[in-house]
Amino acid sequence: MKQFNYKKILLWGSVVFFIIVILLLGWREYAISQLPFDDLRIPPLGIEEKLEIPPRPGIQGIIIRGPEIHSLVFEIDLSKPGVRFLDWNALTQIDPNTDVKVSCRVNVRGRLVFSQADILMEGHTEAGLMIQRALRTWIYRPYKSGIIRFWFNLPSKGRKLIIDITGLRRRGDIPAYVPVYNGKLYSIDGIPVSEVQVGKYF
Amino acid sequence: MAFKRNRERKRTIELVSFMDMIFILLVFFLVTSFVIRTSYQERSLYVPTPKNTLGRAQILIQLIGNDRVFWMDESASDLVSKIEENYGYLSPVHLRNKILSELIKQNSFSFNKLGEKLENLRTRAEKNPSAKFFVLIRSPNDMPYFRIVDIIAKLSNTKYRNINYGCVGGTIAQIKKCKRIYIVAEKDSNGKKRKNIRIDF
Repeated sequence: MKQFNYKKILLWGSVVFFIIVILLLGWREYAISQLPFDDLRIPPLGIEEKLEIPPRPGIQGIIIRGPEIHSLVFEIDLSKPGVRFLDWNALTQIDPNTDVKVSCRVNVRGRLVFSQADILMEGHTEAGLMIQRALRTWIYRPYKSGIIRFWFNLPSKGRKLIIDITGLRRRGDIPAYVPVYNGKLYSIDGIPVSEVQVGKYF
Repeated sequence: MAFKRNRERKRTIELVSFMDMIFILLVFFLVTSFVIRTSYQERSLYVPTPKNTLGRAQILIQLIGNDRVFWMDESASDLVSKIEENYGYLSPVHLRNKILSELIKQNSFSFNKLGEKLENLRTRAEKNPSAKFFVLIRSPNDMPYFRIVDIIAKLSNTKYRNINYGCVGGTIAQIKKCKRIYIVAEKDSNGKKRKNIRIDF
């Protein structure tokens, strides 16, 4: 019976084992190289992995849907009794060179408050009085208060009425999230919209 | 007496055992290699997890005790904004306490009344099939489960299935100790600006 050569078997066995290990390591390297870069790091042994429990909706806060917010419009309240129109055509007929400046204060109730000292109407008294009479009846919706200034400048080639609203402030008790827009700020009959400018002029 | 000579026996390796071991190792490494491949394939799977966002709802039902609930819907918004306006001078903590005490006082009731409220909600949902309602149910962990099941049964029993609901654990004490409760103006999915109540924990 042929005797096994111990050294020869050990040598060949080691070679075969070494080749298998090399092949497997090669295969493992190939498999790892297919992973995305972020997943290449294998966590060291012995360190316990901790899974962070994702917070569920409603744990850190809740939002309850509320009613729709309706915007407010600051404008002349034509539903109030006594609000009169200023007749633009009559004004131009009385004094085609009208140049009147009125500085008024809109009070918290929306009424226009002014005195004679607030009116600049040199040489245009009749037109000035006509304007005053109309302005005293105007009532705004009470969403803003402060200074509002009117400049009736009929001889101008551009805007014949300029309304300065830079001195108006929204009412303090209206929450900041409620938008207040400007609507129609004058009650004048017969004036083309193109001849009115709302903004700053002084 | 003649000692027996200790002859050194020829050492050999059992080839069968050796091959067995080699193949076992081969199989072991092949299997572990396949594990790597499998995880690589699984990597592309999307597992949805809850987002870290605020819970949004039209109605909040907070179970308080065995027979009390706290209900908060859009009608609470006016009360909160009114208190914010009238008591804006208070410190944030006192303002929070004031808002919550008023809310809880006015919107806490028994389970019987909750049944009526849910019935009204169901009627509303059935009258308006296009409307979507979402109810957030908050319950303490020690609440008997049948209470929640009862609410869910009432909510899901709608004709158009337009009432959705979600359950989350939480107590009224957590709401009372929230960081802040306040009004926020936000646009909804239809672009309408709404006066929402926000509770930060």
